[in-house]
Amino acid sequence: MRKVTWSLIIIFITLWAISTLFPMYWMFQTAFTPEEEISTFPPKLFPSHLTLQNFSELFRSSLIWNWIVNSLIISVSITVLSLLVCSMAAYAFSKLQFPGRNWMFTAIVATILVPAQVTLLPTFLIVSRMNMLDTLWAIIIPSIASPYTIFMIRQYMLSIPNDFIDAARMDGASELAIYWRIILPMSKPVLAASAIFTFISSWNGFLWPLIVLNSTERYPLTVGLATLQRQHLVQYGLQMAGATVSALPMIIIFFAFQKYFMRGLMSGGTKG
Amino acid sequence: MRRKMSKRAWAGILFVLPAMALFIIFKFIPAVMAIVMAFQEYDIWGIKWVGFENFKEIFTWPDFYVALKNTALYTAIIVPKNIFIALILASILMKLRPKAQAIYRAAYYLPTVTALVVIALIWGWLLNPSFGPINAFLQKIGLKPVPWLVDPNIAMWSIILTDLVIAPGSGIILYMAAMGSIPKSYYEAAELDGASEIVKWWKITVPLVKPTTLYLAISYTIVAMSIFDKVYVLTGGGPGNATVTMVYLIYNTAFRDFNYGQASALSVIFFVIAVVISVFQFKRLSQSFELGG
Repeated sequence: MRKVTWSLIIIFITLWAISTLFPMYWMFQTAFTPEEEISTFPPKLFPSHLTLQNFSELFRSSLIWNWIVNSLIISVSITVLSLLVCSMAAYAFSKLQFPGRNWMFTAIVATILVPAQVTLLPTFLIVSRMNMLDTLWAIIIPSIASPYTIFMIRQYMLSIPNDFIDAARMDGASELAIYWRIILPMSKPVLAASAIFTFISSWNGFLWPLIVLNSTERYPLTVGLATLQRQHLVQYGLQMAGATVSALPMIIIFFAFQKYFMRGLMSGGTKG
Repeated sequence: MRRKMSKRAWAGILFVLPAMALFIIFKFIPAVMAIVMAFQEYDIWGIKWVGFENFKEIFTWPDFYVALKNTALYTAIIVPKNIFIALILASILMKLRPKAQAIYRAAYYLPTVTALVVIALIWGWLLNPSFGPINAFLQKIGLKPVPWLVDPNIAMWSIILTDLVIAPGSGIILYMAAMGSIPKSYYEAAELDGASEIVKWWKITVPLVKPTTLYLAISYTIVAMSIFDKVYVLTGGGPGNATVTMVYLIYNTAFRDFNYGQASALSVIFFVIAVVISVFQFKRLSQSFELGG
């Protein structure tokens, strides 16, 4: 009886894993299937042979190289700048005393409750006033300061003992040196987790780039793929090849940094 | 001593300055603007105060009610499903050996790192009415093909379906973290009293992970209410206006019709609904938490 129940439970969790992964499998499968075989009836679960034909067609007929480069520029810039700006703020909020510290921190954390969709239009107008529309800056600059990143890094820094800082101050180290030489190196785990999250969410962002960009050659991958879909409605081989180009790097990052990933998720959610 | 303090205070201000400046320009000012603009007629010709006109106007749009209904339907189905399935799957995974646990956890989490646009593109292909694999499968087992995204009565349900069959990756991981920190002694004490697995789960695990349930309820609700990418890629709000959602309507009003005042009024309505639901969930769940503890 126990054995039967246990087998049923394993079947249950495996079915959830299959239905969760099936769309991902179907993307890879279609991307490597010859276009003429894709719409055969009934569809095959496994293609008769694998081909790179869809990818070569994709790289020839679309601006995907531009999109990849744009996505990389956007994600790398946001990650580097965000980590710098947010870790500086986190250091001040966790280790320094200054007037207005508490209400500033409260105000920043309170922005978590305002969905980005609410401030979409005013932010657009401000970016347009700053003459940044249709440039990658329009995506990068508003995304640098993140309440989640500041909160996550601050929580971690609070757990660093003050003794290290006091000792350095005795030796006459400046606040900048303490931040750069002591606090940042000690915060590596949380910085790594924040970097991964920031990189992935910038890479996957869609609505904001869709609004602030006009020129096809400046699109990131997500927006590029959505236009590709509208031009090639039923060329699924092409679409899935594009989807693979966007998804594969994130899957690789996920598996390569799984340890940091899980740790980051847990520290961000349960202690909040 | 005093001089030193003030020097350190200056350092503090300089360290938060870049972040604070960015928050003021891109969060605080836009938040105030959104509220102000909701009471203005704001378009390419100029700005005029109109009081509650924008809101009155919106309440006469049929699209507004469709968007409200679709967003509510999607949220009311997906959020409870995500929380419930995350709780169940996390509870089961906690019983597995570490190796198996890691494999299932990775499998459930994998789609979460993929762009929603990409997920939507894949579903567009899976649900293609004439030669998509799902309809082909239905025909093979003797059923009729379903006009998934092309029938206005079915389209919104099809979008809901694409999220219904996916395991809630981040919820599973957060629940597992919360369950891992429950002291073993609680379960051992219950075992001495002869409690069964189900009783232990219901009386110990479920009440003790309530803070995670609260966090997930609020964050999943905000994400679900903001559904946009999938609608944009799969249906473009159609057929007709059948799959319009709140954020899709805000997007259309602002960036297709350039009707900034009404788009702002819609954003304010959207924000008020989100806050009311969050407060309600907070009250409900923290109350039952106290009662349960």
